[in-house]
Amino acid sequence: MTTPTIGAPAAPSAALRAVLQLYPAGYRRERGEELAAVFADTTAHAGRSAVAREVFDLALYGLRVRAGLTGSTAAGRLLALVAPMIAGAVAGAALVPWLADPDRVTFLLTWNDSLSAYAEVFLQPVGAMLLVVAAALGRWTAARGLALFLGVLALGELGGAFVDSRFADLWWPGYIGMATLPFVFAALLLLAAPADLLPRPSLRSGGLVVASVVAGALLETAQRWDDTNFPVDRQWFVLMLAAPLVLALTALRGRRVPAAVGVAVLAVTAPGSLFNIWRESRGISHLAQTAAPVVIVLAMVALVAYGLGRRRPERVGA
Amino acid sequence: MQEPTLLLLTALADAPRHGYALIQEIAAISDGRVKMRTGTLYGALDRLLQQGLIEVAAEEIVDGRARRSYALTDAGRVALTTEAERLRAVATEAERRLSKVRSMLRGNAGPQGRAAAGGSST
Repeated sequence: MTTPTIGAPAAPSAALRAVLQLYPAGYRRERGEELAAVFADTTAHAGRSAVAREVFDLALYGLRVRAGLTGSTAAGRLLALVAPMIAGAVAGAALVPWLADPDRVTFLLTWNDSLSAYAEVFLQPVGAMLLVVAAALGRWTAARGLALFLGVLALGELGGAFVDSRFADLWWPGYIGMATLPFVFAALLLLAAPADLLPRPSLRSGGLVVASVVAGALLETAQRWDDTNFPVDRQWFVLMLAAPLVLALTALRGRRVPAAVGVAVLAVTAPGSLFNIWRESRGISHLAQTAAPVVIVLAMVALVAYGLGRRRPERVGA
Repeated sequence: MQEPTLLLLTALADAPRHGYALIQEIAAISDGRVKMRTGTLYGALDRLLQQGLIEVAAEEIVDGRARRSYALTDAGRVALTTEAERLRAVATEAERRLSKVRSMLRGNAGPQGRAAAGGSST
């Protein structure tokens, strides 16, 4: 067993002072000096890169505390449950067009067989498959890296759609957003999940990822996003938006598993559902009239659920 | 139980320790493989405090620095014991299966194994 050596106190560096400002004032008052002391000891004989890594780690935790996304908060625990589901679901959704229409690749590459065209065609499905493998094996650093890569790729595509439409028409970015925004949401959810609560590799967590791939593929198929005849009725899109939203709201009553399912499903279906509800309503003004009662009802459900949740203790293991 | 949590509870199993001592203990227990950083350590400590597996044992000022020591609670001791028993059961089973394979390999390398390796004269 080792005995730590505590040296003489030194004024915290400017970097440390700046990093501590990222923590909420209450936490800083309670733990600031202690964090500074441990930081001083761990970096006493460290090189610049080691100090930079310590600063980064401390800053990241400060942001997590401020955002309420640590392993000790309900939101952090919820996101840790969502992580394997969203990793699988978004990958399953991405693979549908390639499994449903294999000729699509040949068709796309007929017109352009440049390296960039190959990258455009293969990067997303290959990245999605690697994401499934990484998440199923519990390699969460790799899974988060891949999710971030796919999210950036999706944002690039969405940005291109905005440029193509000259920022004047929402139709084309909305249409592209149906396929790209789930990746952006997945990246955000996976990065926000506390690393220390992400599931260890096991048959159960691997099975959950694979089941989520199937669920994501089914949800994508149900939306029929690549059919420009839009054969699905608006009621279905309302259902695909409202059902997971209600499930997500059960988090207010401390029910984490159904809430996690709701958040994961919502990340996949919300962009498509919102776009199609907006498209079929022929604009924001018409949509506002139809959506207002629904939003009021959902807000009332949320308030009631929150009120009931406050009266009941949180379910252990739920 | 995640490995950092297991290491942290193990580091607190025999005595209360403060933040920097925990980082050093975890590095020693894991043979230098796990070097926990300050932010990660306090993330885990906050979570374990909230779960009731550890508690603050003492708060003191040493050489002008705030130092808070942490200790296992009864619930933490139970959780660590359960995890240690689970790991011991897995290790015992792994050892049993490996020794079975080793004895089979030794059997193959015996007189019959050598004869088989020498091939048949017929």
